[in-house]
Amino acid sequence: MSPSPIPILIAAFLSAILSGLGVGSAGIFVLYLTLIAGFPQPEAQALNLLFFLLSAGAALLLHIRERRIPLRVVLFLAACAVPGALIGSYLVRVLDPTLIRKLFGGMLVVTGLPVLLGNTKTPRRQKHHP
Amino acid sequence: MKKAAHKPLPWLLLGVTGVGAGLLNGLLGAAGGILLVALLPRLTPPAVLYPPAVPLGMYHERRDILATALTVMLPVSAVSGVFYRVGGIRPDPTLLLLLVVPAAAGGFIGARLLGKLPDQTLKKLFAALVVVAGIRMLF
Repeated sequence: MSPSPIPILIAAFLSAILSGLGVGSAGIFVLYLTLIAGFPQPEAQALNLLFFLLSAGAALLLHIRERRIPLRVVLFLAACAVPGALIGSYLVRVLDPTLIRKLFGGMLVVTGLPVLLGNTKTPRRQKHHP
Repeated sequence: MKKAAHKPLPWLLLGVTGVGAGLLNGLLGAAGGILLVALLPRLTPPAVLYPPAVPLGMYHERRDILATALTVMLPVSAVSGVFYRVGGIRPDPTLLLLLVVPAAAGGFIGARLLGKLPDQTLKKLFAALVVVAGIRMLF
């Protein structure tokens, strides 16, 4: 019944590379799991959460040495995000999976369109001059 | 050298952004980090967010923001994952175990490649894929 895990693992590996690159792979692993591997939306999201923990954790091992991370702001944001995550996780249980799938699709369009149309204004004011 | 602006952080806006990022993370299992990456630079100029006395020209700010977003979303994703599990959404444990190596290795390699690949091109390609898939999910 369950599909071979090999394609899923390859998709996870490639998505994790994109995640580490910061290209925004938030949705791509979920997309693979739902549209290609046929997972239900909530289960795909649960897998993506673990996937994110692993891929982001590994990327962070590098970032933490090389990047500036404002601890005070991180702690504050995380403290505020946890109640939001609890509400979101509750909503996943009570909302119709079809609606969640549509919300996910909407999120992808909303986040992807500005990048595609070239309206992203990522702050890259400074060049690195060693 | 530009002097870091002596300006308080907009804590209320940061708090609302944090709640929104958590809500997205819990509801969609993703996207909280995208919200942070999009909003943090607009809410807090780098000179305010990163006050240490290092010349601003020495950084690549986008990567700092990315690292900041990842650091925030890591514990939040763990919380969401636990609540999914408590709520009965339990993916196959064997698959979870199998995911450990490719996810961690990919994340590490991606972080190594950061800045070495044409990320704007990658972003456009990725965005095109995501928009097409998003439309497919909507209808």
